Amino acid sequence: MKQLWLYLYYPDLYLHGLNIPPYRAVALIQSATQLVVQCNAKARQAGVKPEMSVATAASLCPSLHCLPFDPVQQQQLLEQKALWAYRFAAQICLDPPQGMWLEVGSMLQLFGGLEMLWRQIQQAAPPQWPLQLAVAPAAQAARLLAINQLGQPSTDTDGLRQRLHNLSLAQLQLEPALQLKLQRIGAKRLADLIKLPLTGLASRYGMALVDYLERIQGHRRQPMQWFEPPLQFQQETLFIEEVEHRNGLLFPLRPMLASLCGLLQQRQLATRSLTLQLRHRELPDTEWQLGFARHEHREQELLALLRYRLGQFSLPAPVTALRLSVDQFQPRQPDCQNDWSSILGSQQVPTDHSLLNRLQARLQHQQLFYLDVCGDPRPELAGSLLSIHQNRSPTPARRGLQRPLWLLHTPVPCQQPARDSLISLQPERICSGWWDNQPIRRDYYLSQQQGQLLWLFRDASQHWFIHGLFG
Amino acid sequence: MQSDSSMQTTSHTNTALSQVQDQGQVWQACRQPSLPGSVISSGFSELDQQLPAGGWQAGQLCEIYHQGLGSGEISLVLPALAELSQQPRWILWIAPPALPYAPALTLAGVNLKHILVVHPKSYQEAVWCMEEGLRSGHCSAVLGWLAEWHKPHIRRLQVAANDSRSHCWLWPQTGFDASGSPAALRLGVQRLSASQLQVQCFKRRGSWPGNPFNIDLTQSAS
Repeated sequence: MKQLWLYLYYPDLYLHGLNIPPYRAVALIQSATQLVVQCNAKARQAGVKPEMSVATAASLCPSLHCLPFDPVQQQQLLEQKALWAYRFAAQICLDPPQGMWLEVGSMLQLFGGLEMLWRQIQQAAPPQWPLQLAVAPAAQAARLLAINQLGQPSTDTDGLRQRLHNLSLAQLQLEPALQLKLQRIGAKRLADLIKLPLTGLASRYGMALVDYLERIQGHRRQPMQWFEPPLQFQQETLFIEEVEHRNGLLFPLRPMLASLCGLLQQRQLATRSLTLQLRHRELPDTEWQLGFARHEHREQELLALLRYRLGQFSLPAPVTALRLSVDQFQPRQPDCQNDWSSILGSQQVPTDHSLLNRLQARLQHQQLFYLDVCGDPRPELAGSLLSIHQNRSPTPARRGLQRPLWLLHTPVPCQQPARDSLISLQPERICSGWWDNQPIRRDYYLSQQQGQLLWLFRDASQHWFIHGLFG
Repeated sequence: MQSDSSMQTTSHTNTALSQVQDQGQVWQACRQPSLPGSVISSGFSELDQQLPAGGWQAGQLCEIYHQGLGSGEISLVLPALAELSQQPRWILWIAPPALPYAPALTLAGVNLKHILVVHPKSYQEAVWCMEEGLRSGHCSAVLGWLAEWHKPHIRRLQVAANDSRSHCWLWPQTGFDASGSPAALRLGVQRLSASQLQVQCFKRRGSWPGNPFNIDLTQSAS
């Protein structure tokens, strides 16, 4: 299959991750060199540009808000983007600092052609980060076209060659010194460089340039190191303006959940717990553990669960950063759809657990129970509530004597019933429990009193108790 | 002579009406359209006759009024529960007033695997659970014992049940509100003897409230 490379380029990746309000001029400063690395549109309007010194930038735009640039954070952001992009391609190669290659030649059939894939990526991309796309059979060509916003969803060879050859020297992402040298020999566009004999170029400017030109034209392959997502999920969002209400956390959580679900989808995993870490300006970090009753992997469900759980917490202080992490993963259980139940019959399809998760997210787990039945002859042990975290014994076959639908938690003492209220004068004697020091010896009767059918017993000391009601 | 002609007119009108009816141009409340599979038999033939759809209809909230526990209030729906519990969907018991006794349920053929008991801390939580269960579409039935009775909440539950086509039974722990209820069905149940219940239908869609009738509990066991 012919290889086709799609390059995703995120201009000002770190800057856009900061959730900056548009009316604010912001520049990111490299702390070592004190140069502007990235700046937003408002700052550009005032004349601030990358590579400018802090002093110049600040004098051009007095209201400029300077923040430190963190290359490690940007790399993490890029990896987040790669996790997100996994839904479109199986092979991804990161190209730090702000781009990545996606191998899409093998994906075209799945997505119904290049144009469809192109459109889907653009629609799915979070609007917070502007995205520039380009596609080409040669990886370096795709990269250059994406950076220079010349990408088109077509693989037409002639058009592609023309767009490439028209790239100016400044657009080729060369070292400034090398660019100057090439300008001096009169080269203006890529086409001029390609015409030159390779041996001459190699001897004057080094093999690296020849190698680069060959890669742009696709004569030589770009070595690729595939990105492998770690089996541990951790993402952080920084807020430039502190979040003061818990509902304000839901919005930034959404893209984080989306990339989590991308990872879960790719590895066919699910999770039972999320950890939210909230950073505050002064107080120590708050950590919220959100556990679910059952594994979950669907984005919508996770979002709903988070919404319910967040409703139970309150923020101790405004939040400056939010981190979502998952470190325990479980293999996914087969999906269950209501539509399948009619086809497969009732037994094969597991009950959907999203309801259980939602209930548990809102309530405490001590409020949710299964019903359990066991073979103990003592009525209070034969049926009981079972926490949903415990395993259940299989439901036994239907057998046994008549039992009330309601059992009282503790038997209630009562008067001796009138003889004519008893349904039968022959009691059911239960005499059991000698093995664990809780022996009982009771005669059980049915008695109807004022429209209620009661399950009474008389113990060995001739006292009467109500133990159940026939609902 | 006069009366004879009026008789003729009436019979003529009746034929015309039945013609229009046959063509399906008249909608009658007593002929509720029911989706296939949405009606299940209650297990008691007398009760089935009285219920408008000929059984419990999915998507209808049913209130069952009774005097105290043990008056046969659960027995009324037990055969239906046994049938619904075979589906791979949950049956929610919300705020039951006592322990639902598992041996009695298995004896009636209820599959315990899909039963989930919820003990909400407040009335609001109970209503939320009921609505969430109904709206999720993953419940075949939602059973509730609500400590309070508010019309807007009942209406919400009725709408939720209707949207999800789930069964919903409610045993209000309050007195009967004679000013009406948004629930589609309101029944009263009274125990006559160990195996005889007296049921009265206070409200049903598409028909007038009925007279009290007796049902025999031993009938469903067979």
